[in-house]
Amino acid sequence: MAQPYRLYWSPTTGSFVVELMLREAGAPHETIRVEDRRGEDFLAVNPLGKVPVLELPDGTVMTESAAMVLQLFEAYPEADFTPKDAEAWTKARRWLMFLTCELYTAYQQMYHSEHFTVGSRIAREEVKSAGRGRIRELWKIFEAQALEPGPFVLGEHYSGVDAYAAMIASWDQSPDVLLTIRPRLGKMVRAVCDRPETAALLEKYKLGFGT
Amino acid sequence: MYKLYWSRRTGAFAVETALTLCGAPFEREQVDHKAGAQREAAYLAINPVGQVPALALPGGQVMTESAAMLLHILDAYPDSGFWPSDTAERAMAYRWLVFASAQLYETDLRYSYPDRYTTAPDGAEGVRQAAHAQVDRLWSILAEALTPGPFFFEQGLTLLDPYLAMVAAWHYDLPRLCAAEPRVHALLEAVTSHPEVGPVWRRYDMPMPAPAA
Repeated sequence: MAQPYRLYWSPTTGSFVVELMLREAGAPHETIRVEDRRGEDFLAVNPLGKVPVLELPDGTVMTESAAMVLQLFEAYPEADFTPKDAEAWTKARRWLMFLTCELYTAYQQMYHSEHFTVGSRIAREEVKSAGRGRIRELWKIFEAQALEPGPFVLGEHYSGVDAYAAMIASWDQSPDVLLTIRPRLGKMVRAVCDRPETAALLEKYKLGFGT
Repeated sequence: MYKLYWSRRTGAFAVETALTLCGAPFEREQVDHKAGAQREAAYLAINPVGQVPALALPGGQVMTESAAMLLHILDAYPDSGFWPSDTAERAMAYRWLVFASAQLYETDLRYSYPDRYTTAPDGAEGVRQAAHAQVDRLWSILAEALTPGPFFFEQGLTLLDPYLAMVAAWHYDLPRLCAAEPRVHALLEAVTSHPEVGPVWRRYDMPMPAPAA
């Protein structure tokens, strides 16, 4: 008997996009809130101590949110969030990997600077400051290249990549400023937030935008 | 025809391997990494992040992100057999490909270019040390999953293997990694001695693992 998808989550983390896609697909799922990511119980599930972790209906355990997005694309080819033609697939994968390899890690550098240097508190501030510079540069590239012509990464069609990008944008120290100086990004993020499943979930994850 | 922008010891290795194994026609254009050509306007127009590789598709569309290129090539050559077909194994292949690119590859960049990760003039050493510790932790996690080996999946070589071997070869102390993680060493030996992958490995001047004792 197949079990429901089982998602380990915590507020403000990358589990957001995975839960959103499970909801949008109408996939049977349960969510387990992780209180202590460094606790023994959770380290047995993911030795890196990171959420999300997703258990598939057959019991396979996945880590890496972008890998889960790829997996859900494959499991739900008809869902709104799945790219539909060859060109869309190529663009979606490219920008999904860009978001996870570049932007996701740049925000990690900001919020977990202790993993990026063995140095003192001052050294950590210098790491954060470099992270802020990287983030600015990366969003500029994303807006100019991924959201051309827009409004979504795949043009007129929403996909899981937009939800992924909106989630990362909400991690910004000043998301409202970011969405103002990057108006095309702002427009895309607002369109994602207007989707029916998004609003309640933003609240659950304590993510969001001021306006 | 595909056009691959490449330089020695870069992620272009994994992409050329994928094109070769899948039998895709391609040409190469070398980007002079040593001279910093990847930061010059001509190349930035192709890949604004200034990283090698970039891949121009037969239709003209340009891709960046080596892992995304592998997935694209697999899609274009669905019968190549270099990716698992079973759902659970595909999930694992995605998991470890993203782990290798978003965690291992990114951490390798931190000790290769530590200056980019700090604004302190003397901050590089602290960044490098933290990256060394992190990469060792990541490899011990990956080695647990690499069983029974030498390749990741029992079916034999998939595109995940050369990608993993590539990031392993960038380790800051390859002999030490091979000694600490024998399964990673076995993977490196299997990949570098593969009749089609080995020649690409050598063309890219990738570090060779020491023969197993």
